[in-house]
Amino acid sequence: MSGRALLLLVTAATGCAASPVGQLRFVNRPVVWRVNDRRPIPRPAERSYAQFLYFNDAYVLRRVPRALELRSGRRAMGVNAMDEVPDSTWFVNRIGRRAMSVDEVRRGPGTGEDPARFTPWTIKGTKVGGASVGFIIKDTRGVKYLLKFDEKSNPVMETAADIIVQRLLHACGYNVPEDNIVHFKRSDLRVARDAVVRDTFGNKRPMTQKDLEDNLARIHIGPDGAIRGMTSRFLEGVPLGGIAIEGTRPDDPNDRIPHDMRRDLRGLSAIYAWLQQTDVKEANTLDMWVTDPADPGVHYVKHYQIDFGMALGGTGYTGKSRQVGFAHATDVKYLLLTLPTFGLWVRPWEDIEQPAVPEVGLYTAEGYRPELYTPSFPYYPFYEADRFDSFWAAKILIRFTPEQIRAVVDEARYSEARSAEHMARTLIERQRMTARYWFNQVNPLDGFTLSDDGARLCFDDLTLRHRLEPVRGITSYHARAFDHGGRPTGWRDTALPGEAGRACLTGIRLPAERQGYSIVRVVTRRGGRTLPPVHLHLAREPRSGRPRIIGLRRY
Amino acid sequence: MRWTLVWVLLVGGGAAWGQTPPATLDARAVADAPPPERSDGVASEDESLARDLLWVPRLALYVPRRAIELVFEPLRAASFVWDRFRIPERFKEAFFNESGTFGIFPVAFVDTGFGLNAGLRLMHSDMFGAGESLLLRASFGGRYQQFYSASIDSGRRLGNRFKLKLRGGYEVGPQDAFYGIGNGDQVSRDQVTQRVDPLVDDTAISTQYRKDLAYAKLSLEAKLIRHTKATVSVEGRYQDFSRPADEADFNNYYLVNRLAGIEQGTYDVYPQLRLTFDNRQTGHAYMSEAMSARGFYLNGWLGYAKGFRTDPSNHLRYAADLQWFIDVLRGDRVLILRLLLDGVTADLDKIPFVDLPDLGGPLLLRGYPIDRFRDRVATLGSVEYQYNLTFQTTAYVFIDTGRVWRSLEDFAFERFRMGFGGGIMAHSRTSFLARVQLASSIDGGLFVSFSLDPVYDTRTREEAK
Repeated sequence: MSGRALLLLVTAATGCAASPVGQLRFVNRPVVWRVNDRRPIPRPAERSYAQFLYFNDAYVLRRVPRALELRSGRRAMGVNAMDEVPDSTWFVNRIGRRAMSVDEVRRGPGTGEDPARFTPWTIKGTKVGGASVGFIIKDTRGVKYLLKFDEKSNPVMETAADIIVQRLLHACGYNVPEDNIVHFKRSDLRVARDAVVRDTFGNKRPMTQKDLEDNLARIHIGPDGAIRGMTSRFLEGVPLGGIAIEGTRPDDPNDRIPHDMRRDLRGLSAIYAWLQQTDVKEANTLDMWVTDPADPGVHYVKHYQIDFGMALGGTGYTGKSRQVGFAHATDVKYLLLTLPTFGLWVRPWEDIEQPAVPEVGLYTAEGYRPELYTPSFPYYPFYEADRFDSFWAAKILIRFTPEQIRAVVDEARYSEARSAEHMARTLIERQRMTARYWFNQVNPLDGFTLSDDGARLCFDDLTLRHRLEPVRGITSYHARAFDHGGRPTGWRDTALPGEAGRACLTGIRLPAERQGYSIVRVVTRRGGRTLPPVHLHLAREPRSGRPRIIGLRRY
Repeated sequence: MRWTLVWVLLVGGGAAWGQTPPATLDARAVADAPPPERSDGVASEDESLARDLLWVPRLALYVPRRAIELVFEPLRAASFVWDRFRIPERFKEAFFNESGTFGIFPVAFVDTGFGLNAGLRLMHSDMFGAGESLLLRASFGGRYQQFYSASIDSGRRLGNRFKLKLRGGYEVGPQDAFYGIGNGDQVSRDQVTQRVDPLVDDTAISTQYRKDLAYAKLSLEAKLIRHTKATVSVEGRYQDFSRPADEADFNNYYLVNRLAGIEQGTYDVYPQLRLTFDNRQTGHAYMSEAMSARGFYLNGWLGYAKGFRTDPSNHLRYAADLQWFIDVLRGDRVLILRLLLDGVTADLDKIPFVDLPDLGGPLLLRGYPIDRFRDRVATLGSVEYQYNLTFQTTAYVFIDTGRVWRSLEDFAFERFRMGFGGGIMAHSRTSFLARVQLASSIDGGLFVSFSLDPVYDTRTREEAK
């Protein structure tokens, strides 16, 4: 066997084709920005949640067999050809793809109406589950809410965190409940005649005035009798339980992508790192069987993220634990890594200190390392998350302006201005740290546009556009084009970033064959570092012949 | 058609970024859209040899994986039952009152080397409204063939400065260890040709004895100046050794009739004064309150044992336990230095052997079996280094050295015994939970222990003597 033949054989066997653009090809079609997971389905069964089993599974009983399955670091599913997440019942592109006004971000999923305008509230029962005080109430319009409170010893923190995270997640694109901070008086509460108290076994008994007083005794009431609470509007539809952390819901034919492979769930890890939301578990998600807004005869499942009260350092503060956000509550990895070091290894959380402001949790920018984020409990979508998922999320979260973030913090209604200031400043600092880190793990070029003649390809360098690092003077972009077969077309170009981090490559010529299918490989050089390439797949629209971008792959 | 329009609006022109999409998504709006798994538009994927060959190790691991899943299945089922039937809540509902202040519930623990002890415990933590507590316990098996105890304390009834406590109990321990008296090396039972006189020969043989113990103790604890408290107690005891142990009874290897109180049992009264200085602190706000990082724990006591009937006891007992906690690094790497002296003034034939100071076991001179050494005086030095592993766990390594002496005047730096090892402690935010310890010594042996008692806990010392 000749050397050339051997080389070809090895090349074929290893799949390392000679072409640097590999074998990935896209269908020449418009990029999909919406998927249809709203086909009508009968009501699925409610998914029971067994907490002890869930944690045992997550930590060991499913985790060990899962590790033996040798999952291969597969890229996320549920993305379109541009590596973006199309709109679905899980995620709707909002700030990531369009401009949102400050008011729209501030308002969140709600109408902006203050539920406290519709008092008195009629208490229908007490909240079941969780240790904190809560009531199920109806306002004067008949709208049903869960009314929650902060711990007496810890006013403001939990409800404020919930509001901030809920608003930001909604703007990112996730489905969340409509939550609002409310201030009211004891006289705004009335116990309904049919109100019930449920114990942990589900047993019911009539709720009395004493039950109300006993519960109110456990919460903070201001000297003027003002009570701070948070209303969470009941979601429309039929609750079906939480979202499994792997696999799909078997009785929902629209649920076709394993949850641990979903980009929108995997990417959430970078967003939750930013927000220090560590209380991530199935119980803090909820599937609802909803009625289609346009056709009452159509029902499908909509997927929600819920309950963010322990975010923004709440878990670390109440548990007095600095490792929150860095390690699982029971973390064998850190235990085994630390054991042989005899304490000489200073763990990444050891310099973190509680900020000297009231009403906020253990939430600081000092010591924050986006790549080390670990929720308090194993959450398989985050185990599968890769740098592309985090980059996708970082692109979204960096689009919040300081004004939008401050508006969201305003919604949390901190009683002290310095608490709000700390929270806003820390959110902004961590936002930029998150984006800076993940933008450095890939080639952060985005916002690609192709001119009508296909000769000019422009893009944003997100690191420069958001001024995350002063690297404009040492950044350049180097591109080559390849045809459908992976052969170089001969076109090369180099570009430098403009003032706002936008750059254009020019002189591209699409080949005549295969509808002009071309792959433009763009490499970014910053100083002495070469970032991994981005491949843009271009082709002519079959009918009009107009060149367009049909796909993108980051490496 | 619809998709073409969307494409042109949102991507085709580039400037479409920033335009507002339809306010709501509904089934009609997405009717022509592809299903979720076909959104990526990929016609052919990059090849990867590593990924393509993954079936080989996957195939190899298939059987082990299935086997593990099979093994885990009962655990999963048990976890499900635990949740489904709300076992903890049912337990509380079944055994405790609504406020959780009164309960009768089962207890079980495994004592290292002795097996399972199980029984019932009754507790009332607020009998008369001032935190007065009552504890009753009866359990059987393991180290104790029978174990009954009762205690009652005054809670806050006498204010925050004073606490009165009455405790009593009856225990039958059929397999307590006896290795003779002194610092002698151990020989196997096969090597013993004639019974050893424990008062003159320190040869150590692993034997057992049976002890029936009945006791009652009244104590008054008083907080003095800052960090300092005094405890005055008086205890009356009856101990009987007349029945044989379950196996390797010490009567077969030692001339046990030379030991005081062996034949008729012992009856004594033991008043004691204990002074404790404890200014230990945690290293930082994020460390469990159960873990000290700096400060001293100084503990000394003096007692007088007076025997009745055939018990010849008429001696003083003295002890000093000095512990120094040094913050080595960042408040959770801690060095603990400890010196312990424990002695009695009685001659060997005037004191029941069970009252002699002893060393060995999971607390004192770790790396040796329980009660391995006993004599009139025991000295111990210990160096322990603790370092935080995670929020709930701390690891430690230690070296213990010590020995027993016939007399304090015999003290010399020779023939010291040395144990070493390490372990992991689990603790909650506020309290110690458990520890697993591995220990050995220069004399060999390996001791694995699981314990619910911390080594450096004051209460353990208090109850130990």
